[in-house]
Amino acid sequence: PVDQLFKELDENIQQSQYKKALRVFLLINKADVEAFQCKVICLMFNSSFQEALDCLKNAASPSTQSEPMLFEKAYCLYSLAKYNEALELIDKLKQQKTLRVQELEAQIYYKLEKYQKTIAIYEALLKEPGYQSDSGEFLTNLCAAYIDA
Amino acid sequence: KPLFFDLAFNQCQFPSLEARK
Ligand SMILES: [K+]
Repeated sequence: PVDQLFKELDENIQQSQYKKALRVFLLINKADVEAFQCKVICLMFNSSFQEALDCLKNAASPSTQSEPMLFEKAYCLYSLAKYNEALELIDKLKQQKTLRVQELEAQIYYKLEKYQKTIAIYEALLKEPGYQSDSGEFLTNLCAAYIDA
Repeated sequence: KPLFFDLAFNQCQFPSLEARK
């Protein structure tokens, strides 16, 4: 039954057994939105970014085209060093740019050596009450952008 | 090059499967 498959899937994910989890998806209906989202994340955690991207490009269900999956798609493009394609996708999100999308955008600009753009986004995130900008990793990145600029 | 973390990857998360099990 399907719930047994999801139980198995969840166990594999908890144990970081992404390859095992990916075999379970073969047994679940392709139209299942949660299974599809899980599959994409599994591929990403398995560093199979091109496969994850192909999966997203071939997705037929409109529910998979919402912002959460657009973020994953932009991240896959970023990890494949397709920075301009990633930025084009992010531009489509314009008004509904969430904090994590802004975070990704800042990283893309950093990779493109457009440090002033990275700094501008990070300084905006500093002022965002919903964004944890006091983390050591965030402050390290902000410093890196200042040093490189 | 200074240290630079991949913060965005930490934002990739699995949907909850609790309701499906
Ligand atoms: K903040």
